[in-house]
Amino acid sequence: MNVRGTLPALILEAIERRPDHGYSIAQRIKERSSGVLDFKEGTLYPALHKLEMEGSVESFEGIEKGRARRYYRITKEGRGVLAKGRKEWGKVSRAVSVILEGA
Amino acid sequence: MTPLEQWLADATRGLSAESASRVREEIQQHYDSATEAGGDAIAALGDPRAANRAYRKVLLTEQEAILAPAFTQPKRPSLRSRLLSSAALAAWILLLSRKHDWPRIWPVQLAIFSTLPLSWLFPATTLKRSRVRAYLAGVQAAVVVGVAWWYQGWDVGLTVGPFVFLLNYLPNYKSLSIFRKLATGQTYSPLPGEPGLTHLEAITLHRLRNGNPSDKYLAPVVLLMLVGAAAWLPATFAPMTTCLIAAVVAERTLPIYTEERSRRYRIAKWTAMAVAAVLPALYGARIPWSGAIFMACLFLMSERLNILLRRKLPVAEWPKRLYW
Repeated sequence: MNVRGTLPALILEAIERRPDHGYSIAQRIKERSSGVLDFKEGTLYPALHKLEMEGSVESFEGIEKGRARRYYRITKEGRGVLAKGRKEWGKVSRAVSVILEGA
Repeated sequence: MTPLEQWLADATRGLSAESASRVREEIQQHYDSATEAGGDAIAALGDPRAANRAYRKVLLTEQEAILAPAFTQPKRPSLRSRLLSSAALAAWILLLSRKHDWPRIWPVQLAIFSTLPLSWLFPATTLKRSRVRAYLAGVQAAVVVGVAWWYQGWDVGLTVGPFVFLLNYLPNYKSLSIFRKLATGQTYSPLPGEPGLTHLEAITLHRLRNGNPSDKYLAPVVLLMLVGAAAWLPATFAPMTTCLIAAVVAERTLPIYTEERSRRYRIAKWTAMAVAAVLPALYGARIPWSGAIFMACLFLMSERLNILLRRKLPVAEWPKRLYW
């Protein structure tokens, strides 16, 4: 399932506690949703660049298992965007639940 | 070519060298990790064309990298060019004031040219300024449509509006996109210097040699607008539209690719354009015959850099489109 427009918030949530690189972010989102939330990994990086452009994340070079990786970390603005995203998603999911469960 | 190389070639199409290199690096890292973990790494990456569309929105494209120096290090217009453009504007308004119902014309002209001094007084050299300029250009296009509609009717409003939008808003949108991308630390390599050419001429030459991606959208739009204008006011616009369509066909079919033949072709083309521009005046077309002249001036302006390039470059180095 790919819930349109939720990828930026999912990325921000994935790096909220610690910086991470693209592949790990993609796997973490899939694992935490038990594979329900699936998206094409080629679109993950443009989404990361967009968040970087908006100032929600910043990137830096790091090393993992002796290999150079580009890591992404959430910024103060990004935490604000994530909090707002959570609030909005809460409203939307409650509204959808009310309609579908009431039907 | 391996499946990964093919995926990367499709995903990086039209991106600047630096952007493409960054994409290759991060996707290669991703691919290596995915392959180690097992599974079909290419299938997991998805459609490269969808990724390419998404990348173009956030990373500098080839065209933007070429244009970037013109926005980040603009040259102030010389006094001569300011005087010439002011004189051309004054002549245009004087012409209109003599030929047309001035009280109905001037508010439209004022709306069209109101933002002209901004390029001198408030050049879009930063992200903030670009935002302001893009916003003002959008507002101006709406104001022009409204004013032209009010004073001259909906037909004029809807014709002038898209022209002003295309000419004014799109370059601002482009500069905004460039500055937003540069603000994230993206870099670009300057266009290799062409001896004896200004940066603008080098950009034009690069586009003539490699093609301009926006041409495939812009050319049909312009052609459609011309055909629409000719259908709407045949007496004013049909000669010019016919002339331009004939030129498009001739350039693609006639063997004009020698210096002498090209020169003869261009003399014939511009003579025909001049005739088409003044012809409506002879039989008193309904809308100001100056409409056709205005159109001819736009095409002449767009030809200005090609003229300079023909003078500066030896014929052996002319790209195909410089013969047109």
